[in-house]
Amino acid sequence: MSPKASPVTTTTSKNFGNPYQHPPCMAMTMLTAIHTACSKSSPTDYKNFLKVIKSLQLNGIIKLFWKTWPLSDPSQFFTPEVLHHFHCMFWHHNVKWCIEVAGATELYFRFSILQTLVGYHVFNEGISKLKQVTGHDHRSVQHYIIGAVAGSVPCKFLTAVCVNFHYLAQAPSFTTQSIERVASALNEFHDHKEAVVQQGV
Amino acid sequence: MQWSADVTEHTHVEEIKVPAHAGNNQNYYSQIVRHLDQLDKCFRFDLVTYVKEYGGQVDVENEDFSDGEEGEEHELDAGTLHLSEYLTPTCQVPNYFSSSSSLLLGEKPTALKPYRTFATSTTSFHLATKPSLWSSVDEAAITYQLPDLNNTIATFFANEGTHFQGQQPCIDKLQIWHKMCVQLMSYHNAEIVQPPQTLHAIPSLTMNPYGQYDSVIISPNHESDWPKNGITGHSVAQLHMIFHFPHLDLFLAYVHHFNIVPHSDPTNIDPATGMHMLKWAARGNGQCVGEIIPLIHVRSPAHIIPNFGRGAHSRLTKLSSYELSNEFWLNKYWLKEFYYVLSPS
Repeated sequence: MSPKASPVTTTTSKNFGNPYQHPPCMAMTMLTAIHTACSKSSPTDYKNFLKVIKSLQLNGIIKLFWKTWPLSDPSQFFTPEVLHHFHCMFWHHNVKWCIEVAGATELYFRFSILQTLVGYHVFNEGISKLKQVTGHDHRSVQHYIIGAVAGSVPCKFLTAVCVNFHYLAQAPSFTTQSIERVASALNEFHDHKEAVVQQGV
Repeated sequence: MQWSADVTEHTHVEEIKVPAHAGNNQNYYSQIVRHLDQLDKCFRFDLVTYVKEYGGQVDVENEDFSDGEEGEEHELDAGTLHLSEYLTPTCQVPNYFSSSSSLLLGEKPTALKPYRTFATSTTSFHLATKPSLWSSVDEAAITYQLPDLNNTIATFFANEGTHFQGQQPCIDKLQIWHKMCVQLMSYHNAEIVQPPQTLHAIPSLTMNPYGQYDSVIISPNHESDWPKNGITGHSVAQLHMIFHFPHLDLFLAYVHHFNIVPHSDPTNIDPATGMHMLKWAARGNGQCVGEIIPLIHVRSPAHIIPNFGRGAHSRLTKLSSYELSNEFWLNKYWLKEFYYVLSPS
């Protein structure tokens, strides 16, 4: 898929902000699209093929590794992965919102006066100017940000940035009950996300 | 550490940088290769002599066990260092639960008594062999700025008197530790141990006038249902002093209690943050409620964050922010395992 299209649904970056969830991108849809592209232009004629695949939101791969797998669908087996979908997403969105709403200097100060237990990351320099940030740092920021911003941001906003979903989804084993909790944590975000928009970030 | 580049970076230092420094800054590649070759030969030689010396009975498991046991104070000799390094490429998590049970079975007759590693069903503890400090109760009360220390010790022995059959504590000699290691089982699988957590209880010193006191979850009894029902039936306290009377086989701790601020919700969790709010438990005269508890009542390390309110007071510093704050959040997000325990199901 092209980088502007979602790998698991039929949406593209142009549809960002639409209120409904797009239908999942099925294996059949993708195979048909590849077939159409190949019939319109030969893959060996790369210049023309490039134009065709661009309009169909493909990335130019025509032999898919999962083609021969029965009953499998990428939209189902490409599940969220912790480093990018939790930690990176948290860093690029939730943290940015918090810095915006609580104020960079205030948040810097709050992080700098936190005491941490032995073996845990200390943020003497705050969090907005960190360099070479890795997944490990994203995770350490998650440990403290809720407590650090509490009080200086509206309650609903705080509920929306809460990392409950991230933590619950990383549990090593699940029961029916705990899956319900993961789902309700996600719903809690969707119920409160308006608050983030209202803060104008 | 799953996504860390530390391992490869460290390897780069060992395999490239150190050999490069050993040469004369000419012909790097050939010199590095020759250096590594020589190291390898030395290592093989050491390995052979080591195996010969011990008649082929190299019991790896016992080697590791004794390493974990002695902690920092045990110096490995050169031969064993090579061997254990070769066999254990990654950091090993010591298991204080199994060490304490083997101590109880008397597998280490030379171990110092009372045993420095001990466990309850939920938590295991490990203290250094040598206390950080020897002092009398009165001196400790001044060092730790705990004017009620003497009274609380008297209260503790009055309440637990039957336990000690009239043994009076010898108040001139108190063994005090500045830190201890606490280890818990994994929340989802009680077979797996979590890495141990070091907790500090360091009194005010010239470089840190406020001291450093970590927080813990404590239980009122020897046994409790931690971690099944979360914090219900437990409380949060700040660890101030870890000590021991030489002739009693019980480690004690002086703690300052926190109260959980009640909420309309029965779990007392603040709905916005999802965390418990804590306040110092204070007497009528404003003094903190201190108490002596047996160390084995500690269930888990805890992390707290001061409630900064609308804007954090600009005079606060890293050292003073905890001692000068009144309200705290019990930070359940501090550790995933801690989160699973504290979030109500």
